[in-house]
Amino acid sequence: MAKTPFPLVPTIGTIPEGQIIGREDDIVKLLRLLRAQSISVEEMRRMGKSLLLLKLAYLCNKGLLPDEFKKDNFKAKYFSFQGQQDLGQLIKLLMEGLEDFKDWYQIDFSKTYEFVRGIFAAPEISVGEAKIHLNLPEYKKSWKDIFFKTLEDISTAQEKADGRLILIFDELPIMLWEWYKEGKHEEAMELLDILRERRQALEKKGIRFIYCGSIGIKVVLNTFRKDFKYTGEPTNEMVEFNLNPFSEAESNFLCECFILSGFKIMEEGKAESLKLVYNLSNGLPFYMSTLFNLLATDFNYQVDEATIREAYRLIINDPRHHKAFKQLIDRLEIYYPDDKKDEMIKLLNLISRQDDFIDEDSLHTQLDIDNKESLKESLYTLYGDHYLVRELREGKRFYFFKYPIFKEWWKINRA
Amino acid sequence: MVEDQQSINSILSFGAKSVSPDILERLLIGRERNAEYLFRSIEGIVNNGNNQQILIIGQRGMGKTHLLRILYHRCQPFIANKQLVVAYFAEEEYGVANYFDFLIRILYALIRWEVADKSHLEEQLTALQDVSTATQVSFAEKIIEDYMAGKPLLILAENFGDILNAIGSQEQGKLRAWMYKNNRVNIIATSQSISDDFDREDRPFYGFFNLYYLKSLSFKDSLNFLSSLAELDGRLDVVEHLKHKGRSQVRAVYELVKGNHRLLVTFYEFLKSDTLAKLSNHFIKTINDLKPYYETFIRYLPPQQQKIVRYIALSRRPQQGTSISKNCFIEQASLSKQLSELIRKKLIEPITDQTDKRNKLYDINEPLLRISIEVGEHKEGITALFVDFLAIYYDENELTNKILKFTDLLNNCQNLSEKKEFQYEILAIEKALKLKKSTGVQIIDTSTILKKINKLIDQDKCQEAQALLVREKENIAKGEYDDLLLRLYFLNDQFQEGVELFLKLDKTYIQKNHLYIHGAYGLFRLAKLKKDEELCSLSVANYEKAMKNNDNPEFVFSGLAHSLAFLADLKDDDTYYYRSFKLIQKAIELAPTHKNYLIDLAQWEIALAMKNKDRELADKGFAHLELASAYDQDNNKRLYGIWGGALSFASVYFQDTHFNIKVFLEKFGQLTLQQRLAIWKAFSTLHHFYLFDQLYALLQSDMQSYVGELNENMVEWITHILTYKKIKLQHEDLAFLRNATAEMMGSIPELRITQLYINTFEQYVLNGNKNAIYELPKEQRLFFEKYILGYGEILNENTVQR
Ligand SMILES: Nc1ncnc2c1ncn2[C@@H]1O[C@H](COP(=O)(O)OP(=O)(O)OP(=O)(O)O)[C@@H](O)[C@H]1O
Ligand SMILES: [Mg+2]
Repeated sequence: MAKTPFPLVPTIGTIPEGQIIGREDDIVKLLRLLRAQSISVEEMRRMGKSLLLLKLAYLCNKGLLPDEFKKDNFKAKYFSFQGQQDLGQLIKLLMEGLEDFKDWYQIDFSKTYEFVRGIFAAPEISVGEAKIHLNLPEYKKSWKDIFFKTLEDISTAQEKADGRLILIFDELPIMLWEWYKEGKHEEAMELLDILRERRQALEKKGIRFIYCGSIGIKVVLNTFRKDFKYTGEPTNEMVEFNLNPFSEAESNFLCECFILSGFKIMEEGKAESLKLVYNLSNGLPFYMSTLFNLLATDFNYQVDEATIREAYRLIINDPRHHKAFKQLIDRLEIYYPDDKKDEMIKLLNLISRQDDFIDEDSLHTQLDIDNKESLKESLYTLYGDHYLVRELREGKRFYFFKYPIFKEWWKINRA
Repeated sequence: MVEDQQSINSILSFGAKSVSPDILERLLIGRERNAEYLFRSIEGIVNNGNNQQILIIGQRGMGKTHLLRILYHRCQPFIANKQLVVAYFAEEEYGVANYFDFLIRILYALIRWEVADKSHLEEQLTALQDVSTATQVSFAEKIIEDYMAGKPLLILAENFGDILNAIGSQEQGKLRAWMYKNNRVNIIATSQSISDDFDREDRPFYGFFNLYYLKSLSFKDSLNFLSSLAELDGRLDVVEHLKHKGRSQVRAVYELVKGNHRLLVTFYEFLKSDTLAKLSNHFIKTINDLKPYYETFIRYLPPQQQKIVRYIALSRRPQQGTSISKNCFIEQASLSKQLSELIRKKLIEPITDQTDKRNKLYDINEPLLRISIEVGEHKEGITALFVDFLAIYYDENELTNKILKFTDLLNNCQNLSEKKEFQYEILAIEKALKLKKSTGVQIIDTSTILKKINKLIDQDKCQEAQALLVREKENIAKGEYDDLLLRLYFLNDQFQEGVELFLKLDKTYIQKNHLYIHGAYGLFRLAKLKKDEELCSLSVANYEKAMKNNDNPEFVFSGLAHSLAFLADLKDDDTYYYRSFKLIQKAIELAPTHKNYLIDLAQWEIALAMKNKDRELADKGFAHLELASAYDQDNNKRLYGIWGGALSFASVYFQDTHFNIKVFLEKFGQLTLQQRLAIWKAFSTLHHFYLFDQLYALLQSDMQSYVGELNENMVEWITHILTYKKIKLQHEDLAFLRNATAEMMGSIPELRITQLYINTFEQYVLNGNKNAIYELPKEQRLFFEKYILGYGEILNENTVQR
């Protein structure tokens, strides 16, 4: 990373797109994959998904990508679906986002405009000008058509431009989950169908999708399959992209930026201190920020080995500061039935007390879970949900916490 | 000054909004660092182009409004320079029902504060009204974004928790989506507590805000705060009063309001009008003023939680979970969830039960919350409270004077209803006086705290003393604090911490407070724990400094002697022993009847004597033990334990000569049965046949009085004797043991197995019949092999048992 550090006051909220740290390697990997297909990104909350995608969009649209992508002509549009209450609102959101495309591709929405007018016989409606009004129930049946039409317009323009347009749908699964909770599963499945039906056709014309969320789209689909016998496979052929923690270089760079914002650190021992931050935070930028926040508020901006360790201790032990671990429990409670949840908690309790990977059989003998199949399934879920990592050794499956910092918290506060 | 006076009045009526910024800055006592931290974040937004989302958390009245107001004021230059757009939500933002409303509030805030752009924004707002509802949201976003024109937006919002709660999860989602989409939206907001909206995984703002907790003001801050108020209020008499007697009154208020800004302001009124005739009226008025404010605390709680809070408040003391569960009819299982909710909301506080550390007690977090609940509950409640308050607020003299004054007033009063009031007043004061005399524990000022700590130490409650000390840190001068803490660390066996503290202290401070001796002692104990030569030498060095510093000579001599004796051991260098003898003798000269010094000396002499086979020195040692036995204090166990042990060891080390055991037997026989019981137990851990042999007659007769109390010890003692390798037991010894076991077997059936061991031992060890062990059942055989045959070198013969 050749860039020079700049002052950055630690935050766990948003970061202006030009200041998002690191992720260059991830972005290269993502784009290579995107040449061929669409992608889904799933990770727990606060792990840095949105900032990664925002940076991706920023680099694409500002023409700051490495040379290897020059010919691909990537453009990207970031949407956050959070809080959208129905298909109508969602489509409106997408259409409003299209303002940008007009500039990029000179899309001709007149056909869609005509089309919409045809349906509604409403002269004042215009598309792409944020003036469309689709919330009245009598229009409901036409949403799907309008949505297709719009996407088609975009993709046609896209094809002409011979580029690739990445549509980033952040928080798609959560939105579907909210709909489901409110009894709007019909609408949720309808959206899934739309995405499934047209995705491949659109992809052929150069459109790529990134679905992103803190719960797996799988969790949503499984629930729909179970509760409503839903059979669609809307994410077929999408690859799952694994978001990794920061590399040590990225971690150091972030620390340098934080430090420039007014922290006190001695040149001597600095390298060790940064290394310690990296090790304790497991390279997770969220915890790095939390740690520096604490150094500012509780340790008078002093950065050294002692203060770092003390701040880390607060994060793990002081309930006022370890909010961000609560999701480990919350997720089990929110997204899984009680019996499954209890089983997974038992597993995590036991695994958190291990020093090393532990295999299925040992877990089975040490726990009062009789049904081995169910135990295996729970382990697999925990693995899929990023709590655990898995290793195969001599044909046996061994499990361990994905992040030591999670293990530490679980052991101290839960097990 | 007119404006100032107005400002002061506004402050006094809680209206921080209309107070001039200068005055707010002057009253920023105890919050300077908070303001600085937050302002640095804003500078980050402006100067570095960063974003910040911070949630300031503090209870009602902790000065959040004050802080935001100051921040807004400090932002003015940035606003003027067009570097920052600030939307300051200064009103309580009622009626924000969704994301759109929130956007509108931003626009209103801009209109209200950004006078220059007012008309332009108002036009936009009118235009917004004509847009179809579905499009209004994006239109409003656009107005704001246009207005920002690339500049960062900072939203300063109060009670953000309530706002989020009102707009609900989905609308929160839209707000967050906007913040990710629009790059430069910043929020610095306040909230009374962390609600689910910040704390649950399925809420948009989970883990999104940097949580910044405000701490309550310390006593000192509170005092300064009140002084500044008085100064601004032009009441120099009050300022003066606060320098002297007023301090302890503030202390009382502080106990009640726990450093809450707003409540301090309320009590400022009380303080000011101290001369008034009818205290109770004023008190009741104050409480009644506060009541609605506290009621909002509980009004919105779920019914179960309300019940819990009420129950604890009315109990007036911390309650255990079980009793809460019983009295509120809440099942234990759901109780713990409710309790943790309440803790999270900072309404109750968990405390560790000092009598049983595994237990938790729950108390109301704020004294005035309790008071308000009590007041609401029953009328006489206020009397009890008033009495409490008086008892804390005034000292005895003052109370007595007040009674006299009111009696005067009463006698001269004609009006019947006034007469009644005076009587009430007098009654209350009398009760307070009584209460004060009966409890006398109210903490009022530093010297009282110190007294209380010392009292706890005297009562051997050093843990509690330390807890109190640490809790009151803010209110104790640093000099006194370190001194006490150091001593308490050592009293509580926290040697590591104590030594660390000691090594950090300033030399002249150590000298002045005579702390060398404490440090040296701590170093010695730590050295013992860690068997560390370096620490031990350091201890010696510090004792030597203590000597130069004229620290208490008796303790210096004895302490140094101990360190040297241990050093002698660690370094295996006898010269240290000789030095230590001399020193302990000096201590003995200073305190001739102190039995422990004599025992120390004897113990070292005998140990050294055995090591060097120095009969003369050993005799000296025994003579010292004999001397010690003349001072019949309570430390018999140590004396006789060492004496008996020393005789046993001596019987091994000086096999050819004999020591005079008569005096020992005689003195030991003179002890009471009860005193001997403990010593028998100690002896049972020794391995010497000699001692058992010598004491058997006495033991046998004692046994009849201790029904069953020594059973295990006897089994242990004889087994120990069998395991001992330094002395080869002979047939007649074993016969003796066999005989003894047989005699005791009647009352100690376990000895049957011991007898088996004795027989096997004789066969195996003395007669060389290795097959004898197979006579033993398996477990016993294993035991025999492992412990009786195999047990050997573990004992260190050079150290005499303490
Ligand atoms: N590339 C990065 N540079 C600097 N900080 C980062 C980066 N990625 C993540 N962070 C830190 O982690 C926090 C969360 O990041 P982000 O919003 O991208 O997470 P998320 O996975 O999208 O979370 P959620 O599931 O809640 O939407 C940021 O506020 C920041 O503190
Ligand atoms: Mg996100």
